[in-house]
Amino acid sequence: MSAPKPLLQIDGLSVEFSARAGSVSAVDDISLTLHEGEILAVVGESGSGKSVTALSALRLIPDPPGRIVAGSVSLDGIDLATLDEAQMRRIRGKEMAMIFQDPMSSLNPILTVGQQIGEAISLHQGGTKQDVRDRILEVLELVRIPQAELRIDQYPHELSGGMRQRIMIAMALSCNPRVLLADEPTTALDVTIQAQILALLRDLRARLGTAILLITHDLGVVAENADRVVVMYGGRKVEEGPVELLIGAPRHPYTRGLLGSMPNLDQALVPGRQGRLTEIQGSVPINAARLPGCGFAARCPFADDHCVAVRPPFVRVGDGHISACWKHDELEGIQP
Amino acid sequence: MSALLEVTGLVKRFEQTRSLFDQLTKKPVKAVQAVSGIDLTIGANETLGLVGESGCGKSTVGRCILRLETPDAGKILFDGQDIAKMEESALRPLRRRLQVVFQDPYASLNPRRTVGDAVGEPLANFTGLKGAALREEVALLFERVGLRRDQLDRFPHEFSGGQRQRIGIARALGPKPDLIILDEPVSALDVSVQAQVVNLLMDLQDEFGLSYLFIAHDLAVVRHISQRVAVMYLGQVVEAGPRDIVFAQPRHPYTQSLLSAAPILDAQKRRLAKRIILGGDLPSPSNPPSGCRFHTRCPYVQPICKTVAPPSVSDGAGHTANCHFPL
Repeated sequence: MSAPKPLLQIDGLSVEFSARAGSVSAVDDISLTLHEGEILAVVGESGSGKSVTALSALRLIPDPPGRIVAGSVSLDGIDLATLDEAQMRRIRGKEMAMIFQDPMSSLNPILTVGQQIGEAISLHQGGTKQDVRDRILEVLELVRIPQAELRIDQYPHELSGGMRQRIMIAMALSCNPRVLLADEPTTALDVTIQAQILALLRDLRARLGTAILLITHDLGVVAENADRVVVMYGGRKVEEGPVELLIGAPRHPYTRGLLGSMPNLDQALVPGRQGRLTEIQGSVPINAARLPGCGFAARCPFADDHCVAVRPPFVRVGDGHISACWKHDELEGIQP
Repeated sequence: MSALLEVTGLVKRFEQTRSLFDQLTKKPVKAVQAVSGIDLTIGANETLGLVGESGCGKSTVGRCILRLETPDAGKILFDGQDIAKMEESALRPLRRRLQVVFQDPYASLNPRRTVGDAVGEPLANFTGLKGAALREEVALLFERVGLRRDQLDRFPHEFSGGQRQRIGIARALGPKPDLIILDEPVSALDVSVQAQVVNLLMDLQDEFGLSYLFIAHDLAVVRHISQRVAVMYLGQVVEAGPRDIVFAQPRHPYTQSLLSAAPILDAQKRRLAKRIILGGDLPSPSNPPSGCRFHTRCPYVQPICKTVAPPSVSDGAGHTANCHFPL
């Protein structure tokens, strides 16, 4: 396979939010590249800045209070910052679309499913009423909504959670975007429905070549679906690499901690007895990105004074695998 | 092992409200049967994990045991006494021994009261402690769940999700209960914080000899914390048994598909894993399928499954599955 072409490039992005008590750095110096046909996972806990990163790519950060203070976002080589709002609108939904986390609050309760999906289609592609309706039915079938002819005229409350999430995906796919930003697309769903939705996303990538930025907090979902992974902590990227290296041989203590704190179905347990989970002590400090040293140092079992004082640079630790940790050597070969 | 809690044939229906016209025309009341005859047992110092997808009735089971709902049929024997239909006045002394921790640590604490008050109220109610003695007891509870005593006079908004869940646990722990119903206690928390709370719950169980009913949809967490598990589907328990057996050799196709739908971290194990992706959605509990309720989604469905409710098949060692063709 020839080297895949970079499609969405985020370079040195920093986003701040102003609050009464001064500004908070939500995202600090994030760089990532999503290639054609790739599934790139962005993993992190709440407040790590993963959703803000995706919203910034679409220029959907409310300003004020939010502000992009540094960095650039480019799609297929075009710097999005140079576009005016009208040009940006032609990108959103058409070139790059987003699937939001909570289908219940992201769908309009007083519009039918067809009206909501059709809005983007008539805006970007135009055509007669019948053309638009045909296209809506086509995308509903693409996301495997049974009885599309019936569902198209129903309201969100008439559908189950899994079905609503599929409507959200149908809406995002309606204009054949090249990039799909999926923000926790399965978090609100049950495990059997989650498996259906993720299989659908993988299938869409295979059939349409859609590049997917998969935002999640679930490393299990990452392991099964992503090609590459970016781990975020407190607004900064801490580790990045191919999925098998990052999950199999993590080289940042935070990634390692996340893996250890997850109870795992394929992990052996002593029959009849429970083991302890590995905890990450404490919680994410506010404004971790503004700390002089490593944002994770206060919770890190490996940290020393140097980690607290000086921010670690990215070090290449494997093929396409980088880690921002002074102690990355100590983690080599240790199983999570 | 004597059972602390024994639930048999529990049924809970929720009636839909009728319009005045429907009432006058004597239109029949539409009811949703959230729980359709389930049996559960929890021993002393034991954790029973109750697993199922949203809408399967697992929270309603918890609320019936707490008597926040009055069941329509069935028995709930708590320490030998049937509390299913018990009068409120007779129930009151037992309420001390039955506590609860709710899912959403944001919604289950009053934002206008200090967290010390929230933890102190049930304690004062059941023990009669007052003033400085009450405050000291609350402070000790705070320290036991990993909070600091100087945080007593703060308000809920000053705490993170994990800390709030610790406050909820302290509140449940105060009256020295025998059984705590944990209704999705960690599902709103981040993974790293989830591990802290799961470890805390296990420590407290050892220290105070508590029994838990751990209600959750996350199989990995349930497997970690429970000694026995019961799997619910559309208001019924479809499989129950000792944890190690149910997870290693599930006999009900629903349990098997739930387990196979959970993501696997290890790439090698993943390649070997047999995956069953269930089609369709959970049918509506107001109109459950005939016969076996799982037949609309079951990969092994046979004609008999569509008409005849399956028997409970037991291995004689406490592992049961309700299926015509157990695996």
